[in-house]
Amino acid sequence: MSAPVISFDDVYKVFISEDGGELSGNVALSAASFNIQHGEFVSLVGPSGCGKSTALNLIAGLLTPTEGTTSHDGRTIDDLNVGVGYVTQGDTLLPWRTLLDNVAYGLELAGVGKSERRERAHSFIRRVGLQGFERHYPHQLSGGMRKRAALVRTLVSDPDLILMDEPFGALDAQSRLVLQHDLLKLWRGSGKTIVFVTHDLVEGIALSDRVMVFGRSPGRVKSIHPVDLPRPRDVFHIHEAPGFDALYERIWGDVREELSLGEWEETADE
Amino acid sequence: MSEATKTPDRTRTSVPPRDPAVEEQLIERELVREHRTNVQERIRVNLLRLGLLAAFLLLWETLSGWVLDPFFFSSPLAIIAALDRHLLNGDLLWHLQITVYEAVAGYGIGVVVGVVSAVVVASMKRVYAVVEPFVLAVYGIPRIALAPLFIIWFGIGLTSKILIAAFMVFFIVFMNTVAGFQSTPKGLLAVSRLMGAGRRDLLFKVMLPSATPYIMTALRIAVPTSVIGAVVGEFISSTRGIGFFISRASFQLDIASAFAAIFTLMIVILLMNGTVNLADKRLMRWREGV
Repeated sequence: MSAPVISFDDVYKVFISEDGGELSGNVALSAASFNIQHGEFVSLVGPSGCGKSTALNLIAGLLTPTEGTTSHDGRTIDDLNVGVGYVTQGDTLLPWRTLLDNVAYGLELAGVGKSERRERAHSFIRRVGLQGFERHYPHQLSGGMRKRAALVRTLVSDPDLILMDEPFGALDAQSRLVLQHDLLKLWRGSGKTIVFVTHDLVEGIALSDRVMVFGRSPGRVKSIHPVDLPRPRDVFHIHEAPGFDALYERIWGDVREELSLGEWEETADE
Repeated sequence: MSEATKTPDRTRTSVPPRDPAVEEQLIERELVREHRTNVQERIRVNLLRLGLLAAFLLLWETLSGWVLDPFFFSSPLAIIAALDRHLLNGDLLWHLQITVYEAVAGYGIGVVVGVVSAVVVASMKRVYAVVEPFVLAVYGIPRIALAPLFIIWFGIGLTSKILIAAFMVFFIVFMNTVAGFQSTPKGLLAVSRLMGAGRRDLLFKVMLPSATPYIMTALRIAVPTSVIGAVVGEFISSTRGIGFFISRASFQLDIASAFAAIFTLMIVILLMNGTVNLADKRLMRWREGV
């Protein structure tokens, strides 16, 4: 097997927080070791506060590990990992730029000439069906359209590695499915590696080659589940795929143990 | 998706077909109606404003010579006569033009220095944390209290008035711009940096645009402030300007002339406000609901 794109070797991350003048520390990620291969789509799932986003921010180089080593293509990540694609849950389109200028933003920062970046931005805008909205400002677009714009804004710079932190979390159920479908279409055959954080187990299974379950207190990697469902996948009917139910139950079993007592009782009543 | 294709044909055909021409017509009709309502509303508000002004002046005129002593309070008709007299011989406009010059120059200097200082402070780590208490201390004292010192330092000519106005404008612009920079969403900065943005990119492509609503607010507040700065300076010591004109008229107990000058000043401030609002509308088109 070729060298991994991302490698975590016994990684710890401790956060210090201040509460009423009192400093306290907590372990956001403990003894995390895993590899992510080239072209893989990996989802990180688990309850809030289990270190999924911390792991993503470590890969992005927005955080550095307290202990242990994180590396990208064999190079230790000790500074901002410039060039990595990052799609967040929140809106990170620039509100004062039109859709076209937002999509072309990364190319502009990379010093690509005006006509070329417009051309490349236009072609990506067409690929997600946003043509006709090029002159619109973000507040004039729907939530789903903004997400699509954020997605192609990242893709237009052609990053090998894309990090996505609950990108579709704020969308309604229908838009989510459509966006998942679009994402798989854009990713298929691209050879890009995607690390995808989500709360939604079905979403994780539908999109991924592997699902990593994170546990909490302290945040850690609890289990890793390969998803053997054939591709291309139909996200609209993924629950009908053979083997889906068994896989879902296995992953859900691992996640359920990590929920706090109150949440556990609520779900047990069902 | 495929749910739709499973729907029985019966219900599909029972839905009447849409007619784009009808939709087009309805949109057109509603646009015209909306536009007409807006225009009517604007006319109504403006008429009410005129009415309010007329009622105020009428009340003043009526009370004058009966409840209000015209010697101290003058009256609208006397003020109009004074306005006519001073405008005809040109001395009011001459003094006004000096004040406007001082205010506009002070405004320009204050805005430029305010924004540039905020940029310098924002682009250097720790600087703001170090200077903040000093800035707040100076910000806290009434800036008018420093005006006499400016006269001593820079003379009784135009320079001292320009600098008083600039000083007052500076603080408003500086504080607001710094607040604007500090409110830049962290996510925008992080994503930009990951896409390869350098410090200059972050400043000019993220922080400054993000702070524009704050800066525009400061620019609007600073308009009357700059006029106040100039007029206060003239009040303290000067030989020309509208502040000088008002204070001279008051000393001579020529109340009608003092009011005439005050009203002229109000009109000038309204005009300056209008100019800034126009710039605001052009710059802030990307904002929701503006």
